[in-house]
Amino acid sequence: MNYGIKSDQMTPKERMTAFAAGKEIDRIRCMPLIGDHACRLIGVPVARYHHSAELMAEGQIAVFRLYRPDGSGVGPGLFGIAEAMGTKLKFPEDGAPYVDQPVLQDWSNFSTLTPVDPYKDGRLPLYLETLQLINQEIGDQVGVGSSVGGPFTAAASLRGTENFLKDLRRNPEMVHALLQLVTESALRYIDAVCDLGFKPSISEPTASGTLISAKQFREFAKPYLKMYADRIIERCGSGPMLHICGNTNRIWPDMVEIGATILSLDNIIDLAEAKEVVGHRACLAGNVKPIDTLMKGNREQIYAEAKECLRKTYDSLKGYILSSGCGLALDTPRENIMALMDAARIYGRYPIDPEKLV
Amino acid sequence: MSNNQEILDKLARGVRDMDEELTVAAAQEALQKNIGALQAINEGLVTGMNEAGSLYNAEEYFVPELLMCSDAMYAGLDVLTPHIERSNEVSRAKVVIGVIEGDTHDIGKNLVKLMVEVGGFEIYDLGRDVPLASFVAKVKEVKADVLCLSTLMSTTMEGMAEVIELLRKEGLREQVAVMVGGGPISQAFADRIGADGYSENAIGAVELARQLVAQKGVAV
Repeated sequence: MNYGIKSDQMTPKERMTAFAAGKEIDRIRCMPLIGDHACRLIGVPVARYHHSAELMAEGQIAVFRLYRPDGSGVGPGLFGIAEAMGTKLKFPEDGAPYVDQPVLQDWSNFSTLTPVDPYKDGRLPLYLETLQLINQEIGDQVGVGSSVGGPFTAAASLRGTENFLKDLRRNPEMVHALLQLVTESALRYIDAVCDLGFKPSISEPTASGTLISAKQFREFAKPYLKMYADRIIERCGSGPMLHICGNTNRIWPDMVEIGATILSLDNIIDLAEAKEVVGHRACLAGNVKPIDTLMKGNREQIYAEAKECLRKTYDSLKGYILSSGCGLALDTPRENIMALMDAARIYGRYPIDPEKLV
Repeated sequence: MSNNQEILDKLARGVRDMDEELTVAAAQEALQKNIGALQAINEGLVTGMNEAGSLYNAEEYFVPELLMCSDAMYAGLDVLTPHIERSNEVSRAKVVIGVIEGDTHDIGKNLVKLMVEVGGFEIYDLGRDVPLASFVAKVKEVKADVLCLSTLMSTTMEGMAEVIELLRKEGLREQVAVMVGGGPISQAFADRIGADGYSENAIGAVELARQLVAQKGVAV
């Protein structure tokens, strides 16, 4: 079938600049959460990739050259800050890194923890280097950003998630003390990224409504997320993208109040509902299913789901970015990621025709 | 002086209200009053945990609360379990449980483990990030009646299908009932991969395990 895919008329940077100036753009933005899949494009084991600025840069540059998404970058992700503060991670040869030994098995060594030095601690310096390498190569075409884990997720990685969640009730004072400390660490990393001219984004899966109540979110996650966002606004002029996995139905207004300008939402969310509640206050991003559709589906299925997302959200007042509901699997087929980008080029081409989205 | 039902109610309340002290006190009172340990567990602690499950479904309790309830339950079990009278002839059905290789999220698995163990099963917990072959090896080693597979991540789900395939190859498929659960799991998925059952939560998991084992004719 001939879909009449027009190649992009603008680079992502040109698109962003025109959009910000209120000028016409060629198509809706599309930024699937590609992440570690970059390893597959350059044929290196995931563990090696995460320990080399050259490889991370090479991977993300390859991602951009192949798919041309509307954003690029790397970041310490969910566990990088906690790792730099002493939590031990495990790096499977061929899978995502995860928390192996939280540093705060009990609270007794809390006083030994200090905020990070992003130029020295853990693998944070690698990310700062990688961002510059990426920027040198493709920074003229695409915005380069850095994804950092949110305070709640970082604190849970320092304490161990099960203990941390219990501490919300049995030791809230120490929880707050820990959240303040990780926030201090994160602000230093945020400053270092902004000093280089790049903009951070935030990923906060552990604070999901799937795990905690809206009340717990407001007490333990929101104030600290706001500190992250305040710093980003101060340094970059606008608020960050905030991704929270799972059920966020009850906390969308809170995510906006935190200062996020883009809410990146999971595939279990109904974008139409999100648009109704907060579409007039923040840009929405999401939420094609990463596994069922992007990993296991075909071009037709990807187009169908992209169309559904666009149909619901293309006219959202503060804008909409076509994306995946969460991070893509390592072995997502290249043709499928290309199909998602193509869906933006076909169905997201301006002016968007809602007739074509049924 | 409390009568027996009052003590059972206290046990339930202790668990439901995340009150370890109350649970332990009630457990000791139960022993003093010669309430059978199994009865105290099933009609006291488990009742409380079931109520906690309902509160979770009603979105009044979330994961932090369930974890605190299970801590209270463990405290009660510490007191009561040594006093369980087990008949020597009846062997308990055996359950192997673990989180699929590649996934380290184990809170859900731990809640299921608690409920299944309290439900009278002998449980072998392989932990998290369990290599697929290790499930099969353990099932073979202990002659498990039930295998419980857990995952939170959609990227690791297919591992469950592979475990079932490995069981088949080893000629073990018929002797063990396979149950699956976790965030991305559904009845449809369980059916597709040929699992024997799916449960949405820990409370349902025990009931399901009992049914599957009854179908096999093993006493619990």
